[in-house]
Amino acid sequence: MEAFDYNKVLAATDGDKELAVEIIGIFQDQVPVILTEIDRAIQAGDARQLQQAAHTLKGASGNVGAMVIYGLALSLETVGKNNEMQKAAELLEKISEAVKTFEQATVHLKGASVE
Amino acid sequence: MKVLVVEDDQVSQKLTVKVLEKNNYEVFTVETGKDAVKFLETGEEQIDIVISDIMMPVMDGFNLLSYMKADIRLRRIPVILCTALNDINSVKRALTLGAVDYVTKPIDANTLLAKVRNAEKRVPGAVLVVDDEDLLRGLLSKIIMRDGLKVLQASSGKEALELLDKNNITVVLSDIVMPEMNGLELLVEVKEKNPTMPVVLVTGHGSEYSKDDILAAGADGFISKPFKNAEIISRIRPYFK
Repeated sequence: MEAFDYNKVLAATDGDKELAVEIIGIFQDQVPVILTEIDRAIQAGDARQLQQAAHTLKGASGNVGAMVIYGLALSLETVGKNNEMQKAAELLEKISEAVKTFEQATVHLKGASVE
Repeated sequence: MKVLVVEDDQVSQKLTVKVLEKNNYEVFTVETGKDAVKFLETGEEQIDIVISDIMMPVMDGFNLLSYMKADIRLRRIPVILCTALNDINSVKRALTLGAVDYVTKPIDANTLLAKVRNAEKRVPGAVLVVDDEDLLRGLLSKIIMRDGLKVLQASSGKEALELLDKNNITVVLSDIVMPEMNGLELLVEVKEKNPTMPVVLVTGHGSEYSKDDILAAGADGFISKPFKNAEIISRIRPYFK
């Protein structure tokens, strides 16, 4: 699976590249907040909160073509739903890695929005 | 068309708003079901379509949908729910509760637009209330809106004709006595443009026009002042299937 699927985000925006860059920016601003929430849920052992936060991450990542994050968020959501908290920390670590990869994969788009 | 987007995820919200705005929808946003209810109940903006996420803190999409379907003023508004891909149970539940459609996330702009356009066909038209007297026009409008119908207001026959050209209107409710163009003249103009547009006229006590004159002129209905609220509704409702 690709870390960044540009076609996905273009489908989401109906080919609008400027909007694509804009929502990727919103996503990147939002990610640290969601990751903190996930971390907090894991520390507190709060499966419901974990499921919520993972769900938010899933929704946002799918729209920006962050397909690896999307897949991991989906797994994490299931972990929350089934209350298998012992699996959560490892997934969070993988998500943090995937976020870095996504940032590298999208860095070239910034400043190239006006074409 | 006015669309209310109910979405707590900023990426999805921005995306939905931009796609709709580019296609000339007027878009409003709130972040929870609870805020959606608050927004809809003020009635300041008469929303035509609601697009709502399901999982939200403070009143989720299912609860919002159920609430709207149980509220006479909000029942008319078509609701589209957003579900995660492959979540067949949510889709079933959404449709059972009365959603007109659903969109799956990740969002696809063209699918979203097609579904909104489809929902648009389910949006009932408005009642056009025409009266030069602000007080009576406001009263008539309130009575009709309280029954869950959308209202547009005109303070003259001329304004009424302009609104008829530009909006989806199901029935015209007009006072007879107005300066410049009176209700009967408006009736003639409306029927000339659109013979099937229903026109109901309101007349005052001891008016120079009898009920027979008004119906002979081609009006579809007739209400005399003073009227009861229920009378207004019973004259208007039949035009909304």
